[in-house]
Amino acid sequence: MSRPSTAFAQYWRTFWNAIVTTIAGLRVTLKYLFSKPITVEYPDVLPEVPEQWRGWHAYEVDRCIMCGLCVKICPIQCITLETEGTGKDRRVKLYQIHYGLCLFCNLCSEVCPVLCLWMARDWDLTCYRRDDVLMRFDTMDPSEQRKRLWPSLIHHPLRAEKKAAKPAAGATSPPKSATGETPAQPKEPLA
Amino acid sequence: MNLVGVINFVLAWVAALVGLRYEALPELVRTAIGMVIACLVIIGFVALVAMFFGWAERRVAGRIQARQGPNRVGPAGLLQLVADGIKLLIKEDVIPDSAYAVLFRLAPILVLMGALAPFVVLPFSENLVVSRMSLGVYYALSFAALEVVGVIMAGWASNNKWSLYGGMRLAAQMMSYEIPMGLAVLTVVVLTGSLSLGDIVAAQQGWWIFKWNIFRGFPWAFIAAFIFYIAGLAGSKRTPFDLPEAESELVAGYHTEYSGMRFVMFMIAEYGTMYVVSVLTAILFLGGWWGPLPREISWGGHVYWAAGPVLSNVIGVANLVGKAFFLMFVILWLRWTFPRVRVNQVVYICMKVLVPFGIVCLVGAAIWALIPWPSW
Repeated sequence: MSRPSTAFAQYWRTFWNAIVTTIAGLRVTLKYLFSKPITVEYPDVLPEVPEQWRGWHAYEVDRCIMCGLCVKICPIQCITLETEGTGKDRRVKLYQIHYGLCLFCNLCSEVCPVLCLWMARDWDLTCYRRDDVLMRFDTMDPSEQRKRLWPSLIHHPLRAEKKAAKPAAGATSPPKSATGETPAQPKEPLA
Repeated sequence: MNLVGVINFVLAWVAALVGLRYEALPELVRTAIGMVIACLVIIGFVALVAMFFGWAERRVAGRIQARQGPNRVGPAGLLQLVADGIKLLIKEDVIPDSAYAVLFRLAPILVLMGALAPFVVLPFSENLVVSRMSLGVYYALSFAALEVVGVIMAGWASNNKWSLYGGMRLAAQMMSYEIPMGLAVLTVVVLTGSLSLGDIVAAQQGWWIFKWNIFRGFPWAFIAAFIFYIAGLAGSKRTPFDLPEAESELVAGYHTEYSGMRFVMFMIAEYGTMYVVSVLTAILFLGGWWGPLPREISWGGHVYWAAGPVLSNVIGVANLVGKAFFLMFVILWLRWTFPRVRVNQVVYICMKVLVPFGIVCLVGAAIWALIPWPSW
């Protein structure tokens, strides 16, 4: 290589490089030709989302103590909580999240003292009408909420951890949905 | 018996089934009927090949890019091209106001003619050939050059500077790549001593695949095969030589202004040309119908099994079409592997690589042909 290369040598080097790079390129594409496509065929096959995915919220109205912490911590005030009655009769009148505003920061779920509000893994956040972004959780059909919890997260993640750590604790305060063992298809209504 | 003869034979057989005497027709009428049907068979075959490879191209492209490719319409997306064809056929046939309408209409027909004409001499097997022309190779090459006229016409009549650029580029490219193509063909012709495609294939019979031209006259015909294939790639304007329709600079080159049926003609012509190049490569270098599938099994002069006249033709067609389809797959594979070359690189490859190598191959093959080889 120390000698200045002649045009003749350069020609043959180019020629050789052309052959080598051609074969190298063809090998790469042949490898990909016989590899599996990475496409997820969405309507037929649902994509796998990570455990920590923040999708729609899940809310258990029966466990809620109406403390209002989630409403206070929400940075954009997209949660509306209204209650009626006092003392033992106090119950939720309206629990609504405005998904046009929600930024899925997970603060409401972290602050919840009874772990009745958490972010489920349903990533399909589309809706047909503008009013649908106002999601009422207190009157929500249980089957619809179960659909939200797809694919397996049917408890607050912290509660699921606790249950796994000491199963006896779960027995003392049985959750409304006792089907945590078969999380893929919960059979009982949640709320 | 050629293709017209085969068709007439089948017609006579069908006529006899329904109780008619086909032989009662005059010879001239029978030949005319056979020729018309042969034309329809060829056009149908080319359209089918174009459709199949239009589908295969997308599937291969998809898989190479780790995608699926079309897979929703029909099984494995096979009906996608039918859907596309219907869409293209019912589209409005737009002719720009500023275009020269006569030439604009004529151009796709000429291009399609240039792509279909070589099929007259392309043999599918010994008997399934329309014409056994003694100058078959030159006929095929010269009619492939008819495409240049049509493409220049399309580029010029569109009255669009990008179309004109595309047409001029293609003309320059096809004209210059005909030289190495001719040299590669001449190498085979010198080895075989015949210009007829049938004779060239017939000379490659024997020893399973080891009398194919790429093994005969090694290495000259071996190199010539690559020269022919690369030149054919450039002639059928496929990547990496698709400068005439370089979409990033020329939109779509000479067929930018075309739509609907006329665009389909260009597409069929493109795939038809690809098929012609693949079949010619298979015939000239890869043994034509003497393929991997044997027609008879013999050892030491004893024939254990030999295919009958019909079956041997079927095996021949399978061999030839199989090889041609493999070569077409290689064209697709190359397309989705390599970027487009520059104009100066196109000239470099032709003038500084393919032509000198072609001349060396031709001289080498001539010397090889002069050597008195013992006949085994």
